[in-house]
Amino acid sequence: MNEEHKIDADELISLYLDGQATQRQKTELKRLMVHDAALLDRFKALKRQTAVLNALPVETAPAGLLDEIRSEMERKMILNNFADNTKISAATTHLFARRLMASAAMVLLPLGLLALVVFQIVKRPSGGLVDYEPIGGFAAQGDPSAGTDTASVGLVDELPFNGVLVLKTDEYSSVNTTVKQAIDKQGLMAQAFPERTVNVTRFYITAPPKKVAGLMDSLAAVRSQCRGVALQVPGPEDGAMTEIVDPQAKQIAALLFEDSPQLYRRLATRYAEANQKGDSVFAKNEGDPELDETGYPAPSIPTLAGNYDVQDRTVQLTIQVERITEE
Amino acid sequence: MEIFHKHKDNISLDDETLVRQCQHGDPEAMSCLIVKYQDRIYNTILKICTNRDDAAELTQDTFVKVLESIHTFRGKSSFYTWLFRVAVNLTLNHCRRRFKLSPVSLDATNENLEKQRERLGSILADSEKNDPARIVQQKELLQRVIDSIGQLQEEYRTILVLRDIEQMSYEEIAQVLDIELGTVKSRLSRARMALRDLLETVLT
Repeated sequence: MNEEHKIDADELISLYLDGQATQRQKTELKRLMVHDAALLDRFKALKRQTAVLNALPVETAPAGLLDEIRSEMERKMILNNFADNTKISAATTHLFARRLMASAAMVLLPLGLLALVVFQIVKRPSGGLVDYEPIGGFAAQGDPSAGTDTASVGLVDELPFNGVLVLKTDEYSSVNTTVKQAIDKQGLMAQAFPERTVNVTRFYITAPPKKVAGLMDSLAAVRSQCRGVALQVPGPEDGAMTEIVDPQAKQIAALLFEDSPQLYRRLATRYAEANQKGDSVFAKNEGDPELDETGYPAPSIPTLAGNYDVQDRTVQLTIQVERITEE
Repeated sequence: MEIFHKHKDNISLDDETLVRQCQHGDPEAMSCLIVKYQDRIYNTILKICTNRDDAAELTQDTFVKVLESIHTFRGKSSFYTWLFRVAVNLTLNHCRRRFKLSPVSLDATNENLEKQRERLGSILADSEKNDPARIVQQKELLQRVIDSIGQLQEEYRTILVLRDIEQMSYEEIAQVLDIELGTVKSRLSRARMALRDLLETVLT
């Protein structure tokens, strides 16, 4: 039997098994099988194979899939609405700016003409201008500090907290879902921007500390699904990161609400060291001036920039879910 | 914001009606379409990509993508084939990315295939004796078949799953994979032969 014949015969078998063969093809196949035992064997094997494939169990979709799709759709709808509103706002702003410029031009043009007339009147015949003493003489005094004193102290919108919560798990999909639901529950979907790859998902969140603290509480249950939990925050040296292994909710809360960058870094370092040793940082420690009787750090001295309610400010948190792959 | 409600009674509505309702922003219709097809989509994706976590995420991505762009659906093909076309494309793209990230050693694969053939042969021999452990062995046989499907080339695996597991017609497969009807026939035949080669000791 040549190769071409074999290929045709196999296709005939396939068509026959699917009920797609014509009467003529059926007859042809039967004729071939009578004279070719190998073809008959292939027919039997493929027939059984098809029966086995048809008997494979149907896997059902995981529970909660509908809810996950709903959450994702809602998040996208919110983002789209936000984008639409932004477009409208930009268009309105642009129109307003054009009208303002037109109004300004209508006012300034006559003023400019008037200024030109005045200039021509006061202009000396020699070409110079009339000398006037400056009132008060401020410009003439040439104060070297002029200009630097006017630099205002701008309000700082963000608290020092800028951390990455790393969740290492072999239940990647489930943990991702729980994190998404927790973010949704806190109403932070619009502020959380996920970035997903095959093995790592990151949720970038910028929100007030109270909201982020609530999110941390919602994520307490997810720890049991993780093989490793760590909080990475900027360390005392520029560029270095401090890793707090298995951070406690109170520790995270203390860092979230901390106003002073110096105390924030000291606390982070202390938590990292304590957790590494397995000590409880929140145990009563009378000699520690930075912890009050509740175990929370004592409030730091308000700074000029931070002399208002921290609830009005924001922190940045990245939740990074990492898939642990089997070796 | 509540945009979905489970009204399983509406699942009996035909796809055309549900799609039209979705295009008018009816969240109940969206919910019905998801409930109606989620198991079939998940099962198909799982058989192609062979990983449960990935299959769950790809199923979710498929429905989100389809529902997001449902206003562009003009009904040139059926909703069913459109949905599966999106699912298959997402899955194949995912498989290609995954393969690039973690290429499999061909030597290791061949060794596994040899072991698998030997194992299948012994399972079949035992199962024909009708001994008490036969049910367990049959389950193992099915798992081996699933594993063998996973060893097939991507295009063979896909067409085999669509035909022999999802039970699609040749015309539907042609629409989902965007290939000619003749190509469906020849590729399906080659796919079946390739699987038969992997399961040779069991099925002859």
